[in-house]
Amino acid sequence: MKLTQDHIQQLYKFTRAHHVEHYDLQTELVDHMANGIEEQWQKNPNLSFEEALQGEFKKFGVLGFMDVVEKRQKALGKKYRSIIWRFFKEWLQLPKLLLTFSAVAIVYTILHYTSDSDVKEYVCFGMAFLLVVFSMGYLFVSRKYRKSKMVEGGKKWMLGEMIYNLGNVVVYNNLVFQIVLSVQNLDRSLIDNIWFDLAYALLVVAAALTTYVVMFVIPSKAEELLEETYAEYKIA
Amino acid sequence: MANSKLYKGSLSTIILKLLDEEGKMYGYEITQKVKAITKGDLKITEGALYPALHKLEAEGLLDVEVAKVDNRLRKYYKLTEQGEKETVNRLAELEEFIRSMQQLVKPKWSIQ
Repeated sequence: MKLTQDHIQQLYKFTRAHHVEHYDLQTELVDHMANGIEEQWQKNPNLSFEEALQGEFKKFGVLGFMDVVEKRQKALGKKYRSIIWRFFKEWLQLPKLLLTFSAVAIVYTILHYTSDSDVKEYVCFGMAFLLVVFSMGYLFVSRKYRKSKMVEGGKKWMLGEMIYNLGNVVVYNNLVFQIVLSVQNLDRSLIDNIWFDLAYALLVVAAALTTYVVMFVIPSKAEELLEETYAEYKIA
Repeated sequence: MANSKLYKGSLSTIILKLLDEEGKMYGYEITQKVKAITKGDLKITEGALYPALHKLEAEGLLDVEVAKVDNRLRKYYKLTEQGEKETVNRLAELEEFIRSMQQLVKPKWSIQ
C-alpha cells in the first residue's frame, strides 16, 4: 500500500509539530518516514497510519528530530560561513583590493597622525561605535522585510533563515566593540605604536567588510545561493 | 547484536563506501542497505544517519539531487569528485585501523 497525498501532508504537519521548522529538512524526514511506513504496511497491512507513524518516529530515539535539526544547523552554519568567506575574498583580489587597501591606509593614517593617545582612544572607540550603531540600526529597520523574505513562498529554508538573520553579524560587531573597549586598559606604549595602528586598521576594515557582505551582498544573492544549496528549491 | 558504539566512528566511511558502489542513494535506502549487508547486525539509526550525511554534504564530499517519487520529494546523495578521493583515503585509514586492532586483539606470539 502506498501513502496518499493526504498522508504526506499529515507527515509534514507531524514534522512541524515536532519542531522541524524548515522545509528542506521536513521534506527529507517526510520521505524517510513515508518509506518506513510503507515498509511496515508490507509486513502488516492492518496497521493504521497513525500506529505506523509512531513506530517510525520511535526509531529517531527519545530526542526525536531534535538532534537531526541541531546537527543540520551546525552543518549549514559551516556552509554559510564559507559563503561569507567566498564574498569577502573578492575584496582581497583586484580590483576591489585597491578599495580595501585604501580603507586600511586611511584608518591607519588617521591613527598614525593622532599623536595624543587619549584622542586616539576616542577615535578608535568612535569607529567601532559607528559600526555597532549602524549594524544594530539596520537590523532594526529591516526586520519586517527580512521576516517576510524568510518565509517567502510559504516555505522556510534553513539557509534562507541564516541569510536573513544576517548571520548574527551584530553579535560579532559587539565583539569588536568589546575588544576596542579593552584597549582603554592597555599600556600607553602599546597604543602609541605603528603596529597598533596597523592592527586596528585591519580589524576595523575587516569587520566593516564582513558587515557589508552579510548585510547586503549575501541577501542580494539569496535566490542563487538557495538554488545552489537546495536541489529541491526550484521543484518545491 | 553488534555493539553500535564500535561502528560509530566509521559511519561516514560506511556511507562513502556505499555511495561509491551504488552511485546515488537516499537516506532510507542507506539504512536498509546496511541492514541487509550486515544481516541486521548493524542498524544505522536515523538520528545518526542524517547528521552524518549533512556533515559530509557541508564538507563538499556529497552532492544532492532531488526527484519526485510517488507523491513526495526524494533527496538523493552522491559523491562529488572530492568525495571520491576522500573515500579512497578513508577506506585506507579504516583498513589500517582494522589491521592495528587485529594486532592488538590477536597478537601473534611467535618469535621472528
